[in-house]
Amino acid sequence: MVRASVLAAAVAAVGLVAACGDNLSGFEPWYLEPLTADEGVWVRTPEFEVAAGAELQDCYFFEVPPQAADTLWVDRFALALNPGSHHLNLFRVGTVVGLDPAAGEPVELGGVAGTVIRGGPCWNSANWATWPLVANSQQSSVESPVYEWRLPDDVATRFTAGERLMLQVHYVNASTQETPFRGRAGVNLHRSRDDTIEMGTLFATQQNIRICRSTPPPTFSGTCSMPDGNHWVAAVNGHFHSRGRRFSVYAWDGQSTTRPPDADRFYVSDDWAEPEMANGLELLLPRGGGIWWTCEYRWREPELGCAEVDARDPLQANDCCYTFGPIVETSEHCNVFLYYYPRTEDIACF
Amino acid sequence: MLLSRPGRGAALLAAGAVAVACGDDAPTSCPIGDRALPIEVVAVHWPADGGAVVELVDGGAVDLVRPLQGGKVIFVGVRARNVDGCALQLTAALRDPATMQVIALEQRPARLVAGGDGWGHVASPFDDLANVPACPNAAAARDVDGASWRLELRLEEPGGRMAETSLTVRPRCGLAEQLDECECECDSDYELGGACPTDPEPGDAGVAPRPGA
Repeated sequence: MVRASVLAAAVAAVGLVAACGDNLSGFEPWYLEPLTADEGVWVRTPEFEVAAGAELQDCYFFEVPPQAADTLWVDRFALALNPGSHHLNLFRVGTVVGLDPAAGEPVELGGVAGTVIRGGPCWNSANWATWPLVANSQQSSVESPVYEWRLPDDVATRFTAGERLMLQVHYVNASTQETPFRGRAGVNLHRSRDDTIEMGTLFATQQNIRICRSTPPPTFSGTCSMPDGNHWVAAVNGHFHSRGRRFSVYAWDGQSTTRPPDADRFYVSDDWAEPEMANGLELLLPRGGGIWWTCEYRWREPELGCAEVDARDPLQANDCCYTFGPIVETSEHCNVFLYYYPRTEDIACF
Repeated sequence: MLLSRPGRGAALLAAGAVAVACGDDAPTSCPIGDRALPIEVVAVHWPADGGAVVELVDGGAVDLVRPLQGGKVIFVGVRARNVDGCALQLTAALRDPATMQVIALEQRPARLVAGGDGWGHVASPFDDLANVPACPNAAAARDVDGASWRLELRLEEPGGRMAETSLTVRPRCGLAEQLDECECECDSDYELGGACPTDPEPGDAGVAPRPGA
């Protein structure tokens, strides 16, 4: 498709978006420039309603379009979200367990076509446990719904033509987060022409957390070790839900079993809802080491009562204990999204 | 049929909640033994069969099991005495004895409940034992399962009193239904999202195939 027609279609789509909502007063929809094949890949989800009290998570699947050289190098991401999103995650599809792209409903995604699975297996994180992280955003404020992320000089993310990706979008319109308009997400993958250092990713999660009414405010920590070699951190952000008070990530020497000193902390966030991505870090991790991360929590009364929280508690302790899970209203997370170079392999610690 | 890990822990937790409660309405101190004496700890782990928490022996096996999201963890911790069972912090680390590199570490709150034997035991194996994420492991220079690693355990009270212990353990893929997946993820050559590595059979390394074989 030629650029002009792509642009026209996108403008028309935005116009439609702006016209079809009944609650768009004061909201100026974000706009990302569609990309020609020469410029990269662009993806736009359809707009969707997030009903009051609802929490949605949808998984959109698509393939990296054919490339002249079979490889697409990307050195700039634009990640856009209408306000109210909890997150946007982009993964490479690995072993299919219970979340099968072929089982999805066909969907047009702007620059690509794909399928979507709404809810159901898209909630079960075990289904994508072996799928390497590509990029993420938790930024969806009215003021800045687009996260523009330029990778460090000479660094790019590599994709192969035909490779399957999964764009996961989570929206909440309930007590802890609100979606004032409608849900929608967009991604631009901008082609790099001259970068030669490959970006790698690290995803770490603490799978067994417990924040209870009758116990002291808990803190959970873990480490994630890097493969051998020198590795620089390009960007990082942490993720937890509304019981989260402080998220910290430290450079760690790979030897110590005590929390590193504050001087080694390169990420801290007290903002659970809109944690900023720390980028431009260019931080060299200790060789043979990695990261130490810490999630600090404080229990809070659920606005809708403890029944749903208690129902999710695997131990059925009836103590209003928030435990590991994706539902913002009733469960908790402690996740690290980290981007490093040069890539040795994509890393998971969980 | 085995119960899920949390399910098996529920009964133990319930018992623990009766024995000791560390909440707002409960005593803030839950002494076990004589706190004028040094804290004593003994390493324990929770086997994959979901039975009782058992004492670890030096050089012994410790089971790798799949937690909620994926990967493989070992459930390890301590029993202790001369300690305040409320508001403890447990740290568990797996260290490569050859390089001294820690390949996995977890630190979490833990509670111990006084038992009839004078020792404090975990209130809930699921929550009061460390869930050490052993596999996959990008830093491990050798397969995690079947090899010997140093397990280090540290128990700390809020006031700073603490005790440590360490011993050699040999992680093993503990459940038959997870065996292939576990051996795959615990292979040192495994890469996230990639195919399972194929290790040479014992004795094959570096040996050319025999003619006609």
